[in-house]
Amino acid sequence: MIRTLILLAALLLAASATPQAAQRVLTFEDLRRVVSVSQPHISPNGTQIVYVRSTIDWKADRNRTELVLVNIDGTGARTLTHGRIGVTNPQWSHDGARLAFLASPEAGKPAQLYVMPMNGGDSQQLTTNKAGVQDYAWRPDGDALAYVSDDDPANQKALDNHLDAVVITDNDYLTRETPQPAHLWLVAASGGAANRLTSGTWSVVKGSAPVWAPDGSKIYYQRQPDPIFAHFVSQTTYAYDVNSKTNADLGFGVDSDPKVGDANSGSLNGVSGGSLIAVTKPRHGTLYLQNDLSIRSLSDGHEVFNSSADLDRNVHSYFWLGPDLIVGTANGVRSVAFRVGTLNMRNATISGPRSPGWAAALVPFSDSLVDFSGDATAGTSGAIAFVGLHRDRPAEIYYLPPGSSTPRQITNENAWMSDFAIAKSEAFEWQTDMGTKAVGVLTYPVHYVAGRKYPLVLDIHGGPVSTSTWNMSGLEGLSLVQILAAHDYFVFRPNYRGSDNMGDAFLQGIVGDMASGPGRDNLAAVAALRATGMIDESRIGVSGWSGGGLQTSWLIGHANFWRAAVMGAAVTDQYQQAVLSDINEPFNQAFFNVLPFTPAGRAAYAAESPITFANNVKTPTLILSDTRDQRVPVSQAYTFYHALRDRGVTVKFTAIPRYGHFATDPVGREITLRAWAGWFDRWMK
Amino acid sequence: MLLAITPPPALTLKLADLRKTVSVASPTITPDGKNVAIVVRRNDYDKDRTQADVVLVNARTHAARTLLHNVTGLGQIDWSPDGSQLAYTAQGIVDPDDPDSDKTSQIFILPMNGGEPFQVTHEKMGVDGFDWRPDGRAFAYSAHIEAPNAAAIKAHNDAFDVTDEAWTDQAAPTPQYLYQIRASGGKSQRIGSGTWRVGGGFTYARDGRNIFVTRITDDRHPNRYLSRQLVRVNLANGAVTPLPQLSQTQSDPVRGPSGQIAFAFANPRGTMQTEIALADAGGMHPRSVTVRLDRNVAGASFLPGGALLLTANDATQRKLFRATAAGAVTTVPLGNVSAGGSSVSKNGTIAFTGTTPAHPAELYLLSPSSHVPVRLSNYNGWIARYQLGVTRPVVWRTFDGLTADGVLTSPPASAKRAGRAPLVLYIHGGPTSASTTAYSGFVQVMAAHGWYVFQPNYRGSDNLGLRYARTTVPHITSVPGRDIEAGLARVLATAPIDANRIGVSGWSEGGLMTSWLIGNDRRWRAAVSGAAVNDWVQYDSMSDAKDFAPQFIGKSPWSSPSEYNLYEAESPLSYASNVRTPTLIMSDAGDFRVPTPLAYEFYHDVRATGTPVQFVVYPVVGHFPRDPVRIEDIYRRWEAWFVKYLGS
Repeated sequence: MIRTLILLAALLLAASATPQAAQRVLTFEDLRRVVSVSQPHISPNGTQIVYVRSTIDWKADRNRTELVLVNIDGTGARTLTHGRIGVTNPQWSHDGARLAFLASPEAGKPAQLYVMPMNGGDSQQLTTNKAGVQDYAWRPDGDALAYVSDDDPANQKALDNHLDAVVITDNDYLTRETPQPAHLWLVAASGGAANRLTSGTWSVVKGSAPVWAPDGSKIYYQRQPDPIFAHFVSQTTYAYDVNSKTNADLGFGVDSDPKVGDANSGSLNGVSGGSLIAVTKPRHGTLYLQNDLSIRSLSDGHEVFNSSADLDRNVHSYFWLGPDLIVGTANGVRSVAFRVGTLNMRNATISGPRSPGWAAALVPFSDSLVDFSGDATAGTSGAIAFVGLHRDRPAEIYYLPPGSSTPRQITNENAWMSDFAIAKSEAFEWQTDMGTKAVGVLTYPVHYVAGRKYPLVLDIHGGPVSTSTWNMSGLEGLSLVQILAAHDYFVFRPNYRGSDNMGDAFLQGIVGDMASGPGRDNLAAVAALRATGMIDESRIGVSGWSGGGLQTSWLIGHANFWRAAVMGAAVTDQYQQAVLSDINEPFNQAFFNVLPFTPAGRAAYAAESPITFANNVKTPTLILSDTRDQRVPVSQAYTFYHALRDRGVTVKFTAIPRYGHFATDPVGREITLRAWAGWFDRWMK
Repeated sequence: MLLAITPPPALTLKLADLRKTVSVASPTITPDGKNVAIVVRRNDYDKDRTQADVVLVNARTHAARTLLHNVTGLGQIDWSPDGSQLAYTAQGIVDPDDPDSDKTSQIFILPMNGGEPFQVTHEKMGVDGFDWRPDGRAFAYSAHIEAPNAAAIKAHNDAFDVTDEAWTDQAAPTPQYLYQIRASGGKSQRIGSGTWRVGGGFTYARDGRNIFVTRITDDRHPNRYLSRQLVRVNLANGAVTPLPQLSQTQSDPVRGPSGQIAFAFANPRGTMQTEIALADAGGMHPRSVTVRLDRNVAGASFLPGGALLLTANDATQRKLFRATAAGAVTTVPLGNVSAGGSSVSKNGTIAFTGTTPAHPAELYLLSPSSHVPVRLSNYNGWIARYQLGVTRPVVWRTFDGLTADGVLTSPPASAKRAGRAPLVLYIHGGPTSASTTAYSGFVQVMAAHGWYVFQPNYRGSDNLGLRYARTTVPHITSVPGRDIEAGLARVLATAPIDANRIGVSGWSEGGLMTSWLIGNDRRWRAAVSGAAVNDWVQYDSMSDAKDFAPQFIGKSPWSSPSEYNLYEAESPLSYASNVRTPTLIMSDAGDFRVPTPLAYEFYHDVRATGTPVQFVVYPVVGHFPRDPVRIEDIYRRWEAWFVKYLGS
């Protein structure tokens, strides 16, 4: 027996020492097996977690989702829903007797609200709004739910008669119907007719969740002045008073994502927990740049805490946890959680002076390869369920017991991947001309042998306010990077200025230099990588999607050492971006502090537009775009393509006939990534 | 008593009245000249569709009877060579057990000795056009094939490589091939082989053993519309013989009484002007017959003896011309009738649709012995009850000494107010087109408000010959802009117009001119800019008409900085910050010709000036809506914008 164990240990050791000898490398076909987990919610009694499990139905080209219930020790997993379409957003009633979720009654129809009894019985569809349900929240007493739904057009009869012309203001260039305002509704958990709570030409911010006051007397929600998507940047928190049926502006100015404290929440500067509301506040007035956590008094609205001093990171997500808050942010090349509250762990703060009484501290995990994603919720006991990201394997559901720093892995949906060799990723720092260092993720070729040189591919993130982390997550981190590494490229994902992993000063560096500032950072990163001696300098490629496409198209206009380039959904013309995109003028305003309608403004936009430098391009370039990209208008791909082709540059423009900024169907995703990786194989192998 | 029988026109024309307009088109005379088939379309506003009927009109008695009622997807109609059958394209008969079957366009035959129409073809992607074989026993037809990767597309593996696609395209274009099928139906056979593609009209040779075909020049994208040539294909062995090239663009052959072939070609000295060449029965030895005509020819058919009947704009009227093989040209006497489509019988009787200044299109007949056309239909008799404005030509000198013209419609007497009247400029598109004195419903609706309506022609218009048209190159916008300003000066000097109440408007190229004029002149009180080419660089990248900008401006804007600067200088967007004119901007959401993003650009730029501007988008694909409801809505907003700013 002992002999056998020793033998096994030796085998394991051998396997981990030379993975490339024994293990297969990932292919696109393999990646169709990836199971995605999301939205974990701990049951009110603290014993179970419900989450959404998503698998790929390749033949039908659909993502199939279902709700799965699992015990907090990882045992007893069972599927709660069967064959429903687009199941998402599970939420327990406060007594745990029922589980609500959204799903489409039939394919192609918008989602409706369902409630499932947890003592046996099928789910009941509660809503029938034509426009479906966007988000919802249980009333604390569990007898009703508030939800958000778009209004039906008031002129439906005229529309049916084709009197359907749309008056355009800041709508995107694909607009075919007048956007309708979203409003609050209330429906009893036992069913029956739903009641409209609010109405008007203003709109609840689409996709924002209503938030109940703990006593059920108010619903907090985000309001924007009209239903035009681009105007979500004007959102502010309102309270709907259930008894008086009146709406009140809380006076916070532009903010987002309100979360109300409860009796368990700690008091702060004399305000008790039950009178606190947390929101994110833009530090520079726009939601597109750094957002801080702001905690305010519900009684008079004054700010009692702002995280800017203690936690200089762009806040991605947060939730109340007993007396404190857990805040998700990027940090370096990691995705991390901070605990904000009356802490003793002051040594763990990132920077700056601290607010009196409160502080922020990094939540350490015992497993140094596990990262915190913002997709997390707290149980009533103080436990946390979260989607745990991991450097070397896909995300799984984790459970963090109250007070513990040892997350327990609950799911193992992607165990199959242990048969495969996974490329290793690590942080790589380099010096920028801002005087500070930047850090990105360097992924090694799967068959890496020290001392040999390998070609390098840059994969530049979009946003631009986001971060490439070293985790196997996201379209690029999980799929593209692993495929490229399996083809034995180094892959580097730079977090250039404008990324939100280093704090506000680094992020703000992009304002006014939207293409050129990050461009210089990325060129400096390549120089630093070359200096390592690990790179085959004759084979360096560059690529990225969206803001990463912007960078790619800028970089090939400013250097000719690239062997090949792949620019996806690239912003190549800031002017077109400002007047055609669904995010429209406010987005570019945030990054330029000017609009392109004056000579100076137009010149500033041209100076930061890759199309201005297209005449310099010599790199063989693949242009990718969805045909109906509302975010980065496809017109920019057409313009850049003709600018290259008409000058005889080797260029190919592959269009993916989809609506959206990146294909969401499995086949669409894969053909996009295959084209991307294939271009490097064609020019760099 | 007499007054009671013929009451004077008294009603004021309103936009909704135009729903009563009946369209008469596609006159097709029987070989013996005794009957004419026409396509009659009526608006069904409530159902938002047009109803198409095929009507047979007796040339002698003028009696009409409907041959085909309410035909869905009616396209081409054509008599069999002996006149015993009428072939046409329409939506195929749908199998009730297979709702997807034959929803595309198919060839049908209607026997004229009784019996219902018989469906000849079952092409999956539909029939685009057809030609009767001279013996009447078979058809040649063109049809697009299914995408070679149809199975992959069905599995959503549907990415495609863009080359000269329009921004709205969702798939690569599929080739159009030529087929032959017996008139009795059965299996069709492809004509020719290989990958060459049809790019326009085709006609059998007299012997029925060869066919003349417009083909897309090798490897050119269909959106490269100037790259088309003519070939003769041997039906027995598929051998392809190119015809001599008079120009880079030759197309649309027609066969004459003794087998000679006429075809269209783009004048090499100015490809915007289409001319006609005559070749022998083998398609060889072509010679232009339009050197002396020097007009852009819109249609050609053979007269007995081998002369050609040609349709072209000339000054402010669309006329018919007779051109001999030697190139001698005479005008066919039509009085004040502007000609539309035409058809000639074996004995030389001409059936054509014609429009007078006060009456929408009707069917006319001109027999060989007559000098006066006879009107055979009166579908639009309702218009006689309305008082209309009078439309007359206006002639002026351009800044560089050429003669230019346009038409001015004065308000009807009942709409005249004391003092000077507002003026609306209503600028045609194209630019290869022309405004004529022919009836225009919307012009009359505007005139009924008491406004003068000026429809200028300008450099690039096709009514004054090639020298005039081609001098718009490379200044596609600025030279026409100056022409229109000069025409306006002439109008102001001749009519009692309030210079403070002038509106300017147009669609497509007319929208381009409108956007330009409001950016270069602030005299306008209001403007309506529809589907305007506001940005030539963007247009060049995204439009389906890929030869247009190179044809009218020059090489690619990316070929040199000077080309780029020229494209920018001719773009209204470059002057948008000057705009102070309240402007209504309109576009279809999926305009592949003048890309919709160009309207967004202009809107945002004008809005930033603080000038009142409204931007309206129609959620349809195309360059202008085709359904009655949306068309009327466009004109209603157009009219209302001017009522608001000019007064009624």
